[in-house]
Amino acid sequence: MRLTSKKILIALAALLLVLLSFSAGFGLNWVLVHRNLEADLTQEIAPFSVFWEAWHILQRDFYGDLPDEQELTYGAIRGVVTLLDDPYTSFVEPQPRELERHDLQGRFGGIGAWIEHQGPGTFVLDPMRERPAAQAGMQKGDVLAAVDGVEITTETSLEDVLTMIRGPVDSIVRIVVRREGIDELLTFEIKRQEFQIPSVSWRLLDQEPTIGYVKLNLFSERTANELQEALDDLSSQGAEQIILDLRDNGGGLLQAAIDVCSKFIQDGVVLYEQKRDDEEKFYPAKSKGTVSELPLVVLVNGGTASASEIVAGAIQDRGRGILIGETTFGKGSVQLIYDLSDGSSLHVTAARWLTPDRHLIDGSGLMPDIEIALTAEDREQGRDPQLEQAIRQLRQQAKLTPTP
Amino acid sequence: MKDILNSGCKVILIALIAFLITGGAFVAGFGAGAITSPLSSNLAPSALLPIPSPTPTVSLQPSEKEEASFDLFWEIWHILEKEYYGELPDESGMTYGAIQGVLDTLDDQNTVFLEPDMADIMREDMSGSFEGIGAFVRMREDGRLMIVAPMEGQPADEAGLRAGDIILEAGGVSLEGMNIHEAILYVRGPKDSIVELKILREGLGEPFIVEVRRASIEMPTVESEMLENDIAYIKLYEFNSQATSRLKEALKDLLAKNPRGLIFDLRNNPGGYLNEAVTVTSQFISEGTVLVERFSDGTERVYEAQKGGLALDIPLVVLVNAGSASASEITAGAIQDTGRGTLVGETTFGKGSVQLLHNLSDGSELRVTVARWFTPNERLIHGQGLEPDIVVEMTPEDIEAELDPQLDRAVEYLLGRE
Repeated sequence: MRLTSKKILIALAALLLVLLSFSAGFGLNWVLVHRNLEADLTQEIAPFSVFWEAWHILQRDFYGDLPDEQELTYGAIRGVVTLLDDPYTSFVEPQPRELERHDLQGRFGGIGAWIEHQGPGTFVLDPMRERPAAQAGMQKGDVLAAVDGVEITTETSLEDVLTMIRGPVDSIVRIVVRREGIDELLTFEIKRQEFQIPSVSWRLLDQEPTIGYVKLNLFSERTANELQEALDDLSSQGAEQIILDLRDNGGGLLQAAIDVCSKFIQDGVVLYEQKRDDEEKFYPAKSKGTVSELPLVVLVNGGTASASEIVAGAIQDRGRGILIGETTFGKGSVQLIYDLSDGSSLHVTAARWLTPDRHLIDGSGLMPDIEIALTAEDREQGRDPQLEQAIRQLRQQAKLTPTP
Repeated sequence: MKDILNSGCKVILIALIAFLITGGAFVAGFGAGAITSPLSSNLAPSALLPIPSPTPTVSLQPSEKEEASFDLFWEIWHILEKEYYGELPDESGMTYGAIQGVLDTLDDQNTVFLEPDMADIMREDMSGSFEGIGAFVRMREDGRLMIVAPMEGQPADEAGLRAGDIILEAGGVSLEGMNIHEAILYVRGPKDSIVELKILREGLGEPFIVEVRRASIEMPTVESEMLENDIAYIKLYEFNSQATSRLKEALKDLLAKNPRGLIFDLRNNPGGYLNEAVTVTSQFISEGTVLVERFSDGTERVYEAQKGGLALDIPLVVLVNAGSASASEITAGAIQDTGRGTLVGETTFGKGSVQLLHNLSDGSELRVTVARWFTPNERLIHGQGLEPDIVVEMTPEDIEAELDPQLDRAVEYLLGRE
């Protein structure tokens, strides 16, 4: 399965809303865990009475519409959260309209393929294994010609295509494609299914079949299992070296970061966490270490953040592999997400974390061992000098390491 | 409790020590020349009026229903107390943040909350005098407090401070990054006390220290003079609690010289107390309605001109511009509607709401929009402003060249040359 940054997954339902929705600010964030509330709700009366005084005056005198009691509460909460001046601590109101819309439209489904917009009117498909598109016989490289009778033209946008292909679960979409080497167009009728976005994609590199390439898009609850599947598949295909691509991976769950690290590192510290009261604890790798021996290169860039930085930082500090690419984002804080009684949630910055060598990366990021940029021009021309550098690096290491 | 009329203006000129103006569009005429555009401000200034009848106090406790709906707030506060990595505000700070959060939902820039320190500055300012060093200041974009102009003959001026000087520290406390109100609190202080200021001046590499003895400083309220051709000129800076008495002094003084006409300059006057607007207007209008206040419950209150005005007959021109707001617009509107005088200049700001000022139990202040006001001819100027009878613009080039075509036109008009 291939995945480049240009590709977009078609039609997946269940979008891991939790993980994506808290992309406040930079779209980067990660979270420790959902906590239950045990707080004692004793109310502070004295200094806070001014709040009620002000509110009652507004109720009596204000010329204009006042918020209802719920809006009042939300307003007060926003006011306090704003005072903290921390972009990662935020209050997320329930969004009834949004939820309602999802309910009305029912569940959404798709066909399970990556799509790449290669140029005006050219949309190239790459079906995911064991998903409806692949099962119907679509192949990697098929070019979209029409969807449900609507022809693809140079005017068609990627968004149009996604809108046409997605639809209610179990409904049928008719897709016409052109395939190289075949003169006539091929038509597929595919039943839409609901599934989750995989967080891991992998392949053996065409240019170096001993190198397994693994890309992590985010750190979800399922990431560690998907990664295990990827690593098993790659080693059964004969991969002897690994490139782990964490570029533009904005993070996710802390536990997933630890589990991912544990695939590469046998034991010892993955990170230290410090709380406000100077209480410190460390998170060790679980001694699973499926590929703890294979030569490893990690690709990073400015979009590599939080959970990704934990993994990259541990691999770098522990000498497990080298980092290639660009300086990472630098998000060294940990948020807790609390789901509150009325459907709103609170994201609280609750700790800082440090790498195994006790580097605090907040604001500064991780420096790659080999710095190499990816320019806009490279992107346009489909070049990936960072990946090429990683391949060169692994080839060189292979030469230096005598194979038994 | 007081009524206030304010113009919401983003102001930049503030008198350090005391002028803070609340907001307004206040231009300090003094040489600073800076014009502030009276648009969107968080703090509006201006006229405060004591309310005759005491309003009953409100409950400081939530009702059961309010308390129940507020549980979520406490849930969140306790989570923050338990988990937040960083400094939490103290309970007062938390309370003020919550109040501000509620005001932000109202969509009314004139309903504002002032923390106790800030409320003190405002109260002092509106009294017409303050204790400090006597300078107009503003907070620059980079978070540094700059002197826009020292007030002539006042301590800052005497100590050699100049326009453009940056005040880095006051009494050893760095002012950088503070909001302007906080910063002003460190510069102001009791009369005769000494404040040590660390000043950065362009062209000098190193900051230097100046000691300034604070004084009690009168806010500039009225400025008056006889112009050529026997035209009397009076400028009112704001409708503070001294406005009417200072205006009367100036009128007595000038009218004794038998002028043939009077120019009353309300340009860049951001407003102030509602009752001052009524008594100021009463100097020019002998009877009838000055304004009508209408509340959200449908009730109204009519303010009549008071007897005994000093300038009821003399030919009158009122100068106005976009910085003339609220209380200024009440006065100018009444003069225009009753035909008592002629408005010259540019369209006024357009603030037709009235705020009631509440001193809260902990010394903070809440200014609440409680009403709209209408001119004697039932015009609601909110959002529109008053159209002058004679439109005369003032261009940046005029300001640059120290020309005043609006004043010139007013003089021409009074001399009957048009």
